[in-house]
Amino acid sequence: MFISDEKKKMFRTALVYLGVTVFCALLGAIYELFSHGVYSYFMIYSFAFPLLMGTAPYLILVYLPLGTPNVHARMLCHAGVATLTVGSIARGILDIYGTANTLWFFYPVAGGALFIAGICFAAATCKKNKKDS
Amino acid sequence: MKKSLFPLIFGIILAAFTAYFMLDTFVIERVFDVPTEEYDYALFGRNGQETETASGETGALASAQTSPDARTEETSPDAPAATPTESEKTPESAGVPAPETLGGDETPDESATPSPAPTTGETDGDAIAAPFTAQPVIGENSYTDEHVAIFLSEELFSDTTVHIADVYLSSAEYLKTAFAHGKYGRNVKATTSEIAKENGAIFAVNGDFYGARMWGYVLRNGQLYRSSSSGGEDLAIYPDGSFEIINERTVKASTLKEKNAWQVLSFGPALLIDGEVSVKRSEEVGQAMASNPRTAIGIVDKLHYIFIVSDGRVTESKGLSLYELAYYMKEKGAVTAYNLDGGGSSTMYFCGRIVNTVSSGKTNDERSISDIVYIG
Repeated sequence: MFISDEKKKMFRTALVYLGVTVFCALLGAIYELFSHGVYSYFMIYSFAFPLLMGTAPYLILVYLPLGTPNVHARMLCHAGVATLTVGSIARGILDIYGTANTLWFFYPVAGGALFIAGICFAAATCKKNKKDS
Repeated sequence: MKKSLFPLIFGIILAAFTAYFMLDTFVIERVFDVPTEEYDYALFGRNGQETETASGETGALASAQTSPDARTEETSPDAPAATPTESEKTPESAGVPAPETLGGDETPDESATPSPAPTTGETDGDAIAAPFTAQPVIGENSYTDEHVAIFLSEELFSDTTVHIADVYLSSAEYLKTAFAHGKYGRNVKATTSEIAKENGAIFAVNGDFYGARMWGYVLRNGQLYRSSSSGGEDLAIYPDGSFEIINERTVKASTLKEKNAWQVLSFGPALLIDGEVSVKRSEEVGQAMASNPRTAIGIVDKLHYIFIVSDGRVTESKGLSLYELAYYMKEKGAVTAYNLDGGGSSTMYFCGRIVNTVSSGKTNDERSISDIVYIG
């Protein structure tokens, strides 16, 4: 089915992200169930980060001939998605409790920066890998 | 760097930061430096003898407030000390607090006289008819003295148990607020009953939980502590006892201070303005969308207030929506009413006991909060 081990690896990564997506969706649903009708979009939609920034891009890379990002680019993207997902859940907890903390802005800033850096790095390495192949 | 080392190090950093973030939000106590200037009751035209410290290490804001003991002594210097006899029921068995809580000068009244002989309270030259009594009279659901009259009742409304406190005051100076442990800060918390006892409160409800938020005006007992705007609606209470709903977008905290506001509570929304319901049926606090335990304060007439705490999240009582609460307040005759922190925070305290069923369903499982509104 896959032409290379790299593609197999990326498919496995997409599956891992899918698992994280399911975990986040379940966590959000359970948290909302016990929050006495108080809800937070950050908690409900925390699953969107691993789904849209993890599973989807990796599946695209598996099935489309876009090349393979190198390991450093992938690491940066993983770090970005993890930061954004954790930040979303943390914000959801705060929202439901009815509080706030300015330190929260670390999550979107750091997570966004890491992910964008990863994407830029990936774009560069994908091009190079494609040329090499 | 080894391939496996980056995720490990990053994971540790992210977990450590998140742990600190959560501790900082919910646990780490931060007491903010506030001016410990002396402030007196000049707002009420009192003389310098009654100057009190507004804040301090030992919870001066709270503990320096006039306790029922002090007030009794102050206002009734000739009052004879009550000498309990064996035939008299002890305060504890009568369902009222011990003498050290309410003061030894009270005369616990087992018959729980809810409507003692009315007297007239003089305030700012206007005579108001209020059921004050020369001596403190404590019933199971009532308290009256020279300046304060409180009558508790309970009703079922919309499948919800609602606790109502009708409060008459001779002056708004008896409508006070207090911080947990007398300290202004984040995560400085204590239960409503603890704060009430620390301050010798006769009656108390939870406040606006200012410590859970980083924005919203905090002006208490005439002193401004926080002036960062949340953009929401606040309740301003003035020395003449009147209520005003203000919006933090349009009214600065300094303006309220200049107008000599006595208390400013920042939670909301306003339930009633000029006797009209000011919340929509679908409106809720933040992202809450269900019936919940609620706490609200309203003014019925000059120096006549109503406090409401509704039970919720328990099988016997579903809780109220904001609209239902506003409608109920209107039904009770309130003209201006304001929603305070609710949910697990909703607590009504009276004479040493918790009146409502807190949302956990256990009376001894109160949520720790930042502040209370109390009568004392």
